[in-house]
Amino acid sequence: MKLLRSVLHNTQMLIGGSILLVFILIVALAPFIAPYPCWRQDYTVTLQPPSRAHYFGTDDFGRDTFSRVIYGARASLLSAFGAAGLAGIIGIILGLLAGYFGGYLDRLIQGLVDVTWSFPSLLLALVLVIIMEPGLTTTMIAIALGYWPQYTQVLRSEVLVLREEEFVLAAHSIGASNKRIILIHILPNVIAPVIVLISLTMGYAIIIEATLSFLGLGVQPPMSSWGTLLSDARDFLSKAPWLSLFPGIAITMAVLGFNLLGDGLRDLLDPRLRRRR
Amino acid sequence: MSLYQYIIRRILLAIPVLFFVSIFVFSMVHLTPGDPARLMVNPKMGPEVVQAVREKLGLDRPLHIQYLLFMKRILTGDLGRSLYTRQKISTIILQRLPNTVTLVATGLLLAYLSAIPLGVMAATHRGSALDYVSMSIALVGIAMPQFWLGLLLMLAFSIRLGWFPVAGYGDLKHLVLPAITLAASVMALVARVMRSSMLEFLSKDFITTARAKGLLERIVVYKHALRNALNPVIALFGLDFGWMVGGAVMVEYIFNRPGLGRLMVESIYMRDYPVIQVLILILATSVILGNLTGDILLSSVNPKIRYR
Repeated sequence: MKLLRSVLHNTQMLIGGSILLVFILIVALAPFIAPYPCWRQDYTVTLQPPSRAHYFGTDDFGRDTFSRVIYGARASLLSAFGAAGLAGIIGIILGLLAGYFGGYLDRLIQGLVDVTWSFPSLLLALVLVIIMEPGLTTTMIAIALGYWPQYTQVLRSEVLVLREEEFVLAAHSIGASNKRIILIHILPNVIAPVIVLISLTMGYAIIIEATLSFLGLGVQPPMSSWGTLLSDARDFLSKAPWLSLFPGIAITMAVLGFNLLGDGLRDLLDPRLRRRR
Repeated sequence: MSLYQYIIRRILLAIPVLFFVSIFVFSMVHLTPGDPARLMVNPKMGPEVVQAVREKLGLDRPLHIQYLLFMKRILTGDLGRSLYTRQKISTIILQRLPNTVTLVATGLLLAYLSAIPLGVMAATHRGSALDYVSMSIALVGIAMPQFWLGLLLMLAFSIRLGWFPVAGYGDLKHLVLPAITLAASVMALVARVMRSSMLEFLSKDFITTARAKGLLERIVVYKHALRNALNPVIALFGLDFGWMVGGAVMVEYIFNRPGLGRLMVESIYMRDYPVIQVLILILATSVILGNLTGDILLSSVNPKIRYR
């Protein structure tokens, strides 16, 4: 009950959560919501402004923008989720190791963090995209490799504190192995900041994915994400501005949703972080 | 530790990072599938050219020797030539660098000069319409992809209203929209941090004391609270700077400004590896220097940092 009450009092989280709920429904129910198949071309209605038949207008092939935005949510959110998850896995493992063992391992991992942070995340993603073939998987990996240090830094500092706690010392004294202590005693105590970080990373990941796809280096056809839609729309900015408007609004709303949820969760799960902010 | 000692220490700490960055840039051509010598040559050229390049760059020699040769060339300023335009890379970079420097510098100035007063006002007028409106705009500003904001500004102010040129570079008018686009997200971030930091300090005991002794509210806010509250904003400088350098890539691309960022995108499309390598090295180095500057700035206003 207490938890429920604090959730209901947390406006940020409510707004963020509601926005995301809408997006999750859109992703799950895309074929039922979209009025047209997203690939269907109709040359009798090219470049139509928004109307009752086509809520978000149509593009130069007569494709319905509303349907394309709905289907685009799938690629955008999937790649962002993959990226945030992968960044989480790498970052959590390295953060736990750095915080728990310290010493040379810690210094090595900190070095990796410093090097990663000397590349703007977009630049790092661009480089990886040219090393590997562009596509959905590459996009996820490219984004993840720029964002894992966030997890590592937060987890490392959490673990540094937890390591000295009495329950960890007690586990040591009864002869628990390092592996057991990390997985059973420490990991559950750092779940809260991880959840916050995933939510915030999702927001960044959506933006980077959109940027890569806008440049034609992200998700490849026939798959299309919101970034791909903006890329297609670019040549029609003055003739058909609605093509650029709606996918951008979708991106902004989704990112806003994740940011609000992340901030809200942070206040809810970890009041200490709020004061530190 | 004196400030001087701290600066030396901080510079020494940047050296290993630079070393690893150079290794990363060096290994790029080796990580890419295919023959590295082939990648460093215009695809139209025949096998004898590939062989010549392989020998010139030492690509048939052991990796560590190759790395040393690579670093020797970079450090002596022999950056090589573009695979496609055949121009010297150093010439291209020097041509384009001023455009990027102007853009990033204007963006930084714009972001800080608008965000700091905005954050302070939002904090001193907490709960007012100004506070809500500016913080809501800041939230949305952080959530928008930068290139999309650029397109919207272009649509509104260039295509519809005709106030500014659509793209290109030249006089000050060409700089306005790109600078605003680049500054927007940093502005939003700084305004939010400034506001919450101001609120934190305005609720401290020493502020109550200052008010109790009858100091003018203006002095309490600007001299006592603001000076302390600026620390987190200064701490963000390194991050903001990196953000701006990364952002310049997209902003220059959207607005067709011939700077290093646009060169980066063009070179990626062309797979012009020698240019890409040099650009990454330059951009990463500038971010490292930005972080360094940020840390030094912070420690000069807040000596506590030096003892961490």
